[in-house]
Amino acid sequence: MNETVAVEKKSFGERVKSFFRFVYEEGIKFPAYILVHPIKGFDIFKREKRGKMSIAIAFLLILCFVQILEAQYSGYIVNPRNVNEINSAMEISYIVVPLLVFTVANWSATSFLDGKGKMNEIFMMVCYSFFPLIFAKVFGIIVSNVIYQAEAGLYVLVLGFGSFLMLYMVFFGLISIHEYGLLRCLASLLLTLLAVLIIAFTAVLAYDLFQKIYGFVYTIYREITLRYI
Amino acid sequence: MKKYYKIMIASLLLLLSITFVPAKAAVGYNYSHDGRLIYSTVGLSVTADGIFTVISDRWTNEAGDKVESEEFKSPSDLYLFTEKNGEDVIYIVDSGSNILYVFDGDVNFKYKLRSFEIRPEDFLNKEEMLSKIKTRQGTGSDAKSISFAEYLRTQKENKRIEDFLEVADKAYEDREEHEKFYINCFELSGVYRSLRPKLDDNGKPVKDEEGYPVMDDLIYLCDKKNNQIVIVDANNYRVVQVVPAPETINFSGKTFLPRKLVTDAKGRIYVISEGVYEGIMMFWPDGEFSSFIGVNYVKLSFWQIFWRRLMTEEQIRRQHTIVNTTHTSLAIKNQFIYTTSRAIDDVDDSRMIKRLNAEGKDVLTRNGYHDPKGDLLYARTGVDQNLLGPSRFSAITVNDYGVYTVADEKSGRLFTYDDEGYLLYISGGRGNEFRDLNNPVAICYQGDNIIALDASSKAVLRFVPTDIALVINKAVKYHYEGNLVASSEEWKNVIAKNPNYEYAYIGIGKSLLNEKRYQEAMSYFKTGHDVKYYSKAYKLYRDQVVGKYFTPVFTVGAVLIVALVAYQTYRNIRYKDKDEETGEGDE
Repeated sequence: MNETVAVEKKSFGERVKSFFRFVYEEGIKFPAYILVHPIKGFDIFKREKRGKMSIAIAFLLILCFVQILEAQYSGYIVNPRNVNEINSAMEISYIVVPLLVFTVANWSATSFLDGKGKMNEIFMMVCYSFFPLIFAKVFGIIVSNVIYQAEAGLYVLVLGFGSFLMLYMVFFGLISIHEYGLLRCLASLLLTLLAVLIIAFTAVLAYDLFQKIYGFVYTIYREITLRYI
Repeated sequence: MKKYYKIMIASLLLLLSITFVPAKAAVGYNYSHDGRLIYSTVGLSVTADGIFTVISDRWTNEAGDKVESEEFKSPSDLYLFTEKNGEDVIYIVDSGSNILYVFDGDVNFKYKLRSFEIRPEDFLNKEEMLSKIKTRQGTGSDAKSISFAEYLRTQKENKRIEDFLEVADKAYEDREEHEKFYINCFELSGVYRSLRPKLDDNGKPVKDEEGYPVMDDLIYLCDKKNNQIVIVDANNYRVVQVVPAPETINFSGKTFLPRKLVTDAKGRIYVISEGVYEGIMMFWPDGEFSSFIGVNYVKLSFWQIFWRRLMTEEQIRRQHTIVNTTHTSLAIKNQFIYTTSRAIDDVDDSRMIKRLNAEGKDVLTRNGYHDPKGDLLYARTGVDQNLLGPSRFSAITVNDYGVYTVADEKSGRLFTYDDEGYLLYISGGRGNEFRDLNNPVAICYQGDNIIALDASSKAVLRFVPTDIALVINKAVKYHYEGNLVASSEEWKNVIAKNPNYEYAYIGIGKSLLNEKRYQEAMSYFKTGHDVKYYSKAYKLYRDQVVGKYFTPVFTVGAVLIVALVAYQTYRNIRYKDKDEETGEGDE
């Protein structure tokens, strides 16, 4: 009892210090460890419950932020798009929507294939895998501002490397979290793709139906207003 | 209270009158760098004194002869020729009445020619050519194509070719009516005039006393249904040569239906023939067929090839055949032939305008925001065939500084591009007024103006550049001549008139780049949306910055590193000594 009271009565400086230590340990050191030792890293992530939802969401938010920065500030050579037409909400949705769809689809697929992962684990795993991509994108923004057209390959390389590392982490994360073999994992990915297609189809269908219902209600509304009001 | 309402109503009316100003919207449009439609002034416009039809006074000459409306029902080609003394002559041919109309540069009617005299003295020792000549018998729906021999037999008192040649011995003044012979064209669909070096009997160019080559001044007429090209002297309109249908093996099984032609400085003739899909036909000056150039090859898409692989022979036969497209018009400038053709489908509409070199290879510069192809946005689905698909070009003309204009018969618009392939301006358009261009069949540059022949309204329209187009033309001209500074000044004037004219910013940027003002050039290229030139300017700017700061930064860096290393070594030595000392002590 006394001990808990002592923890709560930490001074402000100590709390800041422990916060930064937490950020460093969990937000940089551990993801970097996973990147270098993916199988062992994700094993710790799952079994010892080292994966933190707070860190995962922080990664997601940072990636969204970096994505917007990329649209706004990458060099003119690689980004000739009209700056006035950038839509931050769209940029965020490019990250968040695929992430959510993948999480749901993968969870659905792996529950068929005896996957051991829970949905929040899959979500956290993918978010942790954003770690190399964030650095690649930030580096890419800087690089894109000091290159000319012939060197644009360098920028593509940086971004491509970041994406590759992300996929690499996701792949090993799936193996570890679901306790799969290699073939099983590939099969689950195929099934995930199928699930994504089904989700997309359903979404389009629902959208269409809602539009029809809206149209129907709107027509009735118009009829009534034109006839009686 | 009532007063309050009155004020309310009055202010509301005032507000409405402010909101709904009857503003006349900008009439023209252009395409922005990313292919969106933007409002813009038209480039060329027709003024009231630039419309010429059969009802205008100018189309009656001093002798009282005039262009009859019955004889001007299907004008098919127009050609403008500038004579040595700088005077323009405009030729118009009508494919229904087979008349060649001659106008002066201001489109005043001079005279018309219904048939062309053929004199035996011009055809001595050319019996073979004579045997291939055809002429028209009858008019209207009774008209038919007959050989020259038959013409002599039926209409010239049963003469034979030998009798025709014998007439040459008689002085022209003494000849009677039955000893004068004429060629009647049958569906006259193209006209062209040019000079070509006169050749003697051995094929050597004839030179005058001062050593200059003697030139023949000739008018070329596409005599479509007679399957021949009639070449007449430009001064006395006498037939001097006829190019008959080729009889070589590479033309077997095809019909020669010449529609439009041009010639080059050597006198070689380039002909577009209807129904010939192998490209443009090239003839030697003596009328012998040489080869085809500039084929519009069809490219099948991946899926088309895939499905054709799976189909049976029967199915492929039932499908409509995919053939190379024919050219629709051509023009020649500085030995380059500019051609237009239909798009194969809306998948490949980027090669409708071509610039062929002597080898027949397409060398058109396509550096613009988009490939030159007329309208970028068009209906891809729908039932109205008239509106469907990409632009359908029917005419092309090139001016002295590489600016070319194509006429789109689908929308009746003129698209003007510069030598780099940038879309400069769009003009014309369909409509019900005389000044509207509905079916352009031929266009020709006259200085900065364009003379257009409209087959739908049977009118000749003179398009005059608007204020901004004049400045744009000047800027492009200076740029073509390599005078970047003058060009940049003109581009600034363009921006003053229309700040949305994106290409102008590139023009200014190029001049700044030339003056080594890289940062300013970068900003202009960015505004002009030219990544390539921006990159060029940025590289030079970066090199400049790196060159300026490399030495100090590198020196400071090197000094720091050396100092650090020295410090480390010094500490190491000291620490090591101490360590050793303590180590010794410990021991």
